[in-house]
Amino acid sequence: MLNGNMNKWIFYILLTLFLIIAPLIITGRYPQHIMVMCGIWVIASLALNLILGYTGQLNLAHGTFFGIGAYATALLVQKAGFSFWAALPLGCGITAVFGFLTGLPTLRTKGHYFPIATMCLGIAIYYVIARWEDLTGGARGLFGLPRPDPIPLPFGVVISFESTVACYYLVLFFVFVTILILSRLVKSLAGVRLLAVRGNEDLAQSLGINTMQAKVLSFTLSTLFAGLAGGLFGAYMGTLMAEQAHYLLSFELLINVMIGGVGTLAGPIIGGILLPILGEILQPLAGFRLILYGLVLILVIQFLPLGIAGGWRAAGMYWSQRRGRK
Amino acid sequence: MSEILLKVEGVTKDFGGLRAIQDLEFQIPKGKIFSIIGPNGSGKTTMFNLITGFLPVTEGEILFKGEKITGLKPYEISRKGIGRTFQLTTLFGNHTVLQNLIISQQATREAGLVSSMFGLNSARQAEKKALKRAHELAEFIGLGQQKMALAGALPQGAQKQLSIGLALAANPELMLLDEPAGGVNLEEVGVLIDLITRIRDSGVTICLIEHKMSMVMNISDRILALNYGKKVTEGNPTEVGRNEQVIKSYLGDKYAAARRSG
Repeated sequence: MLNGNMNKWIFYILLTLFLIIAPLIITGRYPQHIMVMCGIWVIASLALNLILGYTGQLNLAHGTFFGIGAYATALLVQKAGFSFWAALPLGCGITAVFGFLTGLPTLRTKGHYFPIATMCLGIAIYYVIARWEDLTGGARGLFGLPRPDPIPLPFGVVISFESTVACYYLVLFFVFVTILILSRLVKSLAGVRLLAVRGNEDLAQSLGINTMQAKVLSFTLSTLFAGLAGGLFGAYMGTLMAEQAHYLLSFELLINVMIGGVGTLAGPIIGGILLPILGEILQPLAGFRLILYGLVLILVIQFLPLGIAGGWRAAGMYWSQRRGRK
Repeated sequence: MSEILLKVEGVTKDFGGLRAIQDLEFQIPKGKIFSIIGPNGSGKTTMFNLITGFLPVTEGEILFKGEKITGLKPYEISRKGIGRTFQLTTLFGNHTVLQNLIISQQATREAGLVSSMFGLNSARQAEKKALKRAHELAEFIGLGQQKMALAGALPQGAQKQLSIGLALAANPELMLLDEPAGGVNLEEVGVLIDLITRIRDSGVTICLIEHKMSMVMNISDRILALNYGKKVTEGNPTEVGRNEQVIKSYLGDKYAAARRSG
């Protein structure tokens, strides 16, 4: 047991070190750009996993909240003149308020109605963003968004975010923050309460758990982190299009979580890194790529219900059992 | 008569045109095992759902420790101190026995979100305590050897033990057990009888719905017999077992014959 934990910690430390020195090894601008994008998708996928994997509520508007966070942060910077460092938390807050207000009515529904309600919500908000020209620039989108403001340090040193590598470290920092907070939460008693809601709502209620409150809290927190990913996306890319709030984005994030491993800690990280890279590699296939995704998704759901992370764990248990028998 | 824990006053429940419970009145004394018997469809489980707030009452009032609980939500009633099990054994099947017993504790429903998110000391202390208590509960319900087993993979009897353990973990003063011995073999029934009496002896009042008459007659302090949502009779096991109407409508002629010859 102790040995296993030691190995795990060594693995985590090595992985962290690798992620920190990665831009020194992978030097091309294009691969570095992909790395930044992966970081942003990892944050958004981790957030989706909180409500989907740990609370059992299939939110089909997750991409919409990503878009709300992106637009809120960008508009605060561009139109209200806020510093990015004030706009980002405010943008997350605005997204969370949206999440809270939409969660209150939609989370009352049971069974398939929550996914249907959130999907309708996502489509509606997408059209608001795509048509509200005065605020969002409509179909043209927002252009010329500045990178995060430089952070002055003592002795005249300034951290600027003009380079891709600097943005990589910025995103990596928020990836770590997200992982630390969410992994801590799901292992705590408050996280266990979410598992109770996922497991059986009637049973949870009979045990004194306010299931509605648990769902709303989880949903609000999940949208907050989706907003964080969106805010980072806008500042990094410099442009925002209505596509960033499109419901297809919700499905892409859903695929990340499903293939990586729903309800596991590593799952959204694996999915958030693997699928964007796969997407880039398969770019020449264009639309056929989606057919391949569909096929992979069917295979994963059929044979690896807990995705790659679950499959990995099962394989590990199988091998340790075999070794035990010998 | 001892102190009254739960009072059901003139409760009626209609499902559309069907009257499932009709002007029912009874009291559960503190510290006893109180059983509700009756043929299928006589309103036993409906009564549980009314007490625990899973169904609204049509008329009447239910008082717990002198306080009106009708109209409260299920989780609020649970927090007042009424635990329950379900007729179809209900567990967190994808989690281990130990995890099930952590999920069910009072500390879990009260854990703060912020202190949990940032791993504050108060949250970590509460987790340690909950884990310790889960180990104790697992031993108490007789699943000390299966702590790491998946709840959904346990045999029927062990699942029944665990479902009682879940209700117990939430610190109730009154536990409503809906057919705790349904679909369980004779040997396992003995284990359950022992568990239920030990819970009663620890000071928790039990209300039991059960079809296994040997079990009901054996452990009940008081029995309420229902038929078509109405009270047939109420009393101690001997009195109820002698009641002609109970024998006719529920226990059957064989039981009556056995009684007469025995």
